[in-house]
Amino acid sequence: MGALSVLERMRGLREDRGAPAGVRAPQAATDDADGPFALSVRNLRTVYELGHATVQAVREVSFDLRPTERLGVVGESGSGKSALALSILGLIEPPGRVGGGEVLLNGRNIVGLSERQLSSIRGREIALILQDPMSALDPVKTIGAQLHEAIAVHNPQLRRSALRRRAAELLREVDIPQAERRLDDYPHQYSGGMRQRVAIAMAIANNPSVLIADEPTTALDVTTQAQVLGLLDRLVDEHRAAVILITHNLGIVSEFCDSVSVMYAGRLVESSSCEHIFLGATHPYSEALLRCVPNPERLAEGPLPAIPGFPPDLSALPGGCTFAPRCSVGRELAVCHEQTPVPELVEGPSGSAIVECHFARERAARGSR
Amino acid sequence: MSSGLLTFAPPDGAIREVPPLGDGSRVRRALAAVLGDRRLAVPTLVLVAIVLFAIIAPLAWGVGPDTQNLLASLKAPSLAHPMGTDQLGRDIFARVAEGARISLLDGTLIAVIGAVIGGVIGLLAGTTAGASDAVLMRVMDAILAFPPLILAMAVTVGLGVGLKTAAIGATLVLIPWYARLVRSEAIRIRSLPFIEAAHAIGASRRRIIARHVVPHVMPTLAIQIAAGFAYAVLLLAGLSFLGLGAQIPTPEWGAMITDGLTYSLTGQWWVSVFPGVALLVTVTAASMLSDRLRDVLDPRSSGLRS
Repeated sequence: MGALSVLERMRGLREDRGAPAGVRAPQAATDDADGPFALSVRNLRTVYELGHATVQAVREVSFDLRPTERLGVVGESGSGKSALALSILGLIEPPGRVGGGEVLLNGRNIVGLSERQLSSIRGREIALILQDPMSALDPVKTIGAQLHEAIAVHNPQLRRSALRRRAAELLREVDIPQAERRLDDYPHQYSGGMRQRVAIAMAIANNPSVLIADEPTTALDVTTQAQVLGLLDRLVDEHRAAVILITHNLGIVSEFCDSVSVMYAGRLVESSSCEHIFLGATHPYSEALLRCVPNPERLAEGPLPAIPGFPPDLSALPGGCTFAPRCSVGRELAVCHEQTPVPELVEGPSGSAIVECHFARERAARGSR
Repeated sequence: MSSGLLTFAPPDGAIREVPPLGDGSRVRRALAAVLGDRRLAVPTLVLVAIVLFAIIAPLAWGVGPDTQNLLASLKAPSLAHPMGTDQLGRDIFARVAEGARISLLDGTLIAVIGAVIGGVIGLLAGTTAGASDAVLMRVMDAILAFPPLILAMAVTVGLGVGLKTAAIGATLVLIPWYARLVRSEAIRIRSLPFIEAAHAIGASRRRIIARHVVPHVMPTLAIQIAAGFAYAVLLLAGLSFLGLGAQIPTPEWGAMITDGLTYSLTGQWWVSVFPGVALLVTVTAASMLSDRLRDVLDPRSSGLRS
């Protein structure tokens, strides 16, 4: 639903201003008819300057997130998903830096804020859940001490007893049994799933309006994955947070998310509702990604197809469409290798999408699958 | 492994209640861990014995370290004088005990003050990349470029010969050791995911350094303090031996060795040998302790079982 509103706005903008097809995204609007966005990212650019080369990890990415919307960001390793998450939080470390763009969090641009200002926002308005619960907790501090810290950073007035009460409440909220007693345990005494719950508890401790989960279940086994996702689902509902879920698991996206953006070489190449992607992905890359998901019904078609080739070197991107060298449609077409596709709004059988592909319209019209 | 960690089902099938690790006496668990490891227990007990010796001997022994008795000069070890007497008839046992007090106190002070100053420099350098890191570490490199004894001698002579200035010189020698070590540890820890997680919950840089980086540096620093102590005791004795540290009549071990050298040639070996043995035992015990601590505390060396 959220992505659709973006589309509607883009459409409106084009009609209003008669903007050329090259328009990237609406400029610095923070709300529309349905109310303010929780998060608006505008032309965000992140580069790593490595001396001999400049790696473009995030290239002019724009998207909007409404309150309580759940956006899935999918893509291969090295497509810039994590860099996008860290850029939004202002956590890019040298030699990387945010090279431009805006991140409007509840209407306020947080790009370029001082470290002190960012610290007061992180955890309170926007929080991050890291991929690996094994290393996301400090091994020499008790779980309780770490929860205390997460709370106290933004509530310095709280006394120790109040902190402890609140920490125990948080542990109960994430379904850790015997919460009071387990506060005094160290991370190594928790299982992987429990640690990820603690990480989630720390992230929601201050009721952030936006939660970024960077592959929160990748390090867990399948049953634990389901439990943690179920928990996240419930908590996000209860706390009315918007979520950006970064993952390479399309199954999780289909279960958890309202909308989805497919990331390739630092760009969002297709953004739409979940229905659109799963029923008729328009971009050849999205389509290829979906084909790579094992499906019992298609067992007879032979081995699982793989996308040929490798993701491009982000420090030496090919001209034209970055996916062209691997694309089943455009591999041999001059236009794909020579012209950079612009984001285009297309209508598919199951909704609209913003797609960066020279053949977006015709592919959307026929419904790709 | 202490027995409380594992749960076994007893024959009747009931599961025994296991106390959580946080409970129970930390001191008792630490004591059990130290005494259970022979290579940790031996140097620890030796050092404890030397400390007790330094405290008790001067109180219990009737003769003071500076009491002269020219009638009983250069007497060989006997029941009255277990380590003999020197040329002025002073009791060497009393002087070695007094020397132990000096060496232990000064060695500890040098090691700890050096660790605090070097540790702060290392933390600053390791957590602020860029110019301040480069400047601080080049200064440390410059200090390291001097041979330690020469540097300590230069400082001592420059500030005026004496035990205090020798200690300042020894501290200066130790500071870059600590700084380099703490810096490299800080850099390693800074890149661990839980630091990023702490940033993500909004913890300030200062808070992260104090609450997350420092606790992780402490074990490494503890090893280095033990090693630094051994080195400081040796360096102080060396400076005093050369006449730059403790001055007559201070019963410092190094100075006592120099004092007795002449008499060693004429057969009165005990004047030099006993302070020398005291120095040897202290320094060896401290280095053994730091080596073993490294095995036990350093997660990267798998020496725990060896």
